[in-house]
Amino acid sequence: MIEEALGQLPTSLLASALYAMAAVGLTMNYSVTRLADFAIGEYITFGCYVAALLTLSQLDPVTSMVLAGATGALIALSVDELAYKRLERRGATLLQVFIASVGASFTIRYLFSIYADIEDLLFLTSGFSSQPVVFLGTRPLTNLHVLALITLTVTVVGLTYLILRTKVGKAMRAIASNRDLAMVSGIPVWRIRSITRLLTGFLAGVSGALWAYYTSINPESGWRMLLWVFSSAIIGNFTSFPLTLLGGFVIGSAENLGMWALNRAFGLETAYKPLIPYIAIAAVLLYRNRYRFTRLVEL
Amino acid sequence: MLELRGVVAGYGRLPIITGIDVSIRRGETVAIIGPNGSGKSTLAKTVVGLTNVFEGTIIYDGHEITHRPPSERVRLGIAYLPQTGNVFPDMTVLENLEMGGYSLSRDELKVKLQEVLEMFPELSGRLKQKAGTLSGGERQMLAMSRLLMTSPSLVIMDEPSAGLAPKMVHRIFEKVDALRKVGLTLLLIEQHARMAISHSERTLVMVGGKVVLSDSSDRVSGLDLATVFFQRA
Repeated sequence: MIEEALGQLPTSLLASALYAMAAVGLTMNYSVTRLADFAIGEYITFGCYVAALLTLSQLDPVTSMVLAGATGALIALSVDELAYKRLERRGATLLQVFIASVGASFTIRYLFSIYADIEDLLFLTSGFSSQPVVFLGTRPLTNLHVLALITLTVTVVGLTYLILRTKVGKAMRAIASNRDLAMVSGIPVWRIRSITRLLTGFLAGVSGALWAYYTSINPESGWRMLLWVFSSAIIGNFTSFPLTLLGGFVIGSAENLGMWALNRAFGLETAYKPLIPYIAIAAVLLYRNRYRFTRLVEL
Repeated sequence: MLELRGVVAGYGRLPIITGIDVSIRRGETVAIIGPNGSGKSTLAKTVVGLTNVFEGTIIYDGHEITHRPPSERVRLGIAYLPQTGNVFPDMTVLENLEMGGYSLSRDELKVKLQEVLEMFPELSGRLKQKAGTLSGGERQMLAMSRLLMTSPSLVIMDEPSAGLAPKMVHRIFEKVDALRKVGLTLLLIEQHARMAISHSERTLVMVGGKVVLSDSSDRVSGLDLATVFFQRA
């Protein structure tokens, strides 16, 4: 039984890393722009496709992943420039901008679906070849799991350094703390926002690339990850960087290890997986005012 | 130096101040007083670019700044001390000062930091402390020093003594006088009306979103302010 539980670990780790990476981007975006960007699912989808197509054309997985991140960054920045910023400058409320992000998400997804249909790319498997590195029980820990964990570690270390030590990172914290004061302090708020959007899109794109290496993809891949990414960010209250990371691990582990345990104990079907993020969201919303979470590094 | 001509401004689509015609000379200290809700803070925010201007023009040092973003106004030399939320509480004192000098190079920042800490020596020992853990008076000192990091020529202070103990109010006004002595132009918005009048050359009285009186502080100090506030309402 322990061996069987251990076997769930690699998939749990991979899912956790994917959700955590995209959720950290979402949290960073929310902290600076106050927008929970619904279109993040589409940046993930673009990352999936770019990585899949590049690995199919024999480019190495790491370079493909970086280029997938760059594509996600470009899309995230474009959406901001073309829609969100314009709306905000015209005095739109946050709710109106959020609704615009839902609209942007649908528009991008269906335009991309039409393109994928024409190009016969509705279902795609990347050229990444998964190789076992070590066995945990009966299941192997593959080069993909290792790649995901290294990528997450680099992301965490890099973002921590950026936020705590660099001028841009400190400006992000200042904007997250008090936007008006940041503006009158001479911080170029719109420029910092653009940098944040690039980082958000990059993390989403990288997360999409790892997803494409793991399984077959379609134009709704990012959209289907949205619930898990949002619930990870909600665990972090959309403000705390470490709690969002923890959220990714809670959700990723719960949907794999947790579902396996529930299946073993009560025979619960794995089709009930989406219940896990919903329960996490409900629990956080119910209890977050009762307990004061300590914000270790607040964006 | 600063000129507002027929300015109508407010939040969203709601005008709060109307028909504002004000002219401030270089090196002058001007107190803005008035009852609560008279539009004093809105006037300050309008000069720094935090409101919507519906009519009129704002000219600063020959530049039309009516619709320019706050960061550009800061670069032109306008600094603003908000009434509340005037420090970044989760950042250290040093980080707060660094944010004030965001546009400076690393070397310029070092020089400016030294300069500002000489003026506010009470902050020197607290550079690593989170701003949110400072006392009210210390926070106000930090806020004042943060705005000096931008090397401003016009400083707008919105209620710098609000909520402070009398001893600390006295120290804050000492700092205000120090700023006057170095030749800065000051716009001082205050609830402590008598205090503001005694530390300024000219006083504007605002009632109901309008400037109802503009005169030398000496003359305004001889008036019964309650009568001025209510007669003009």
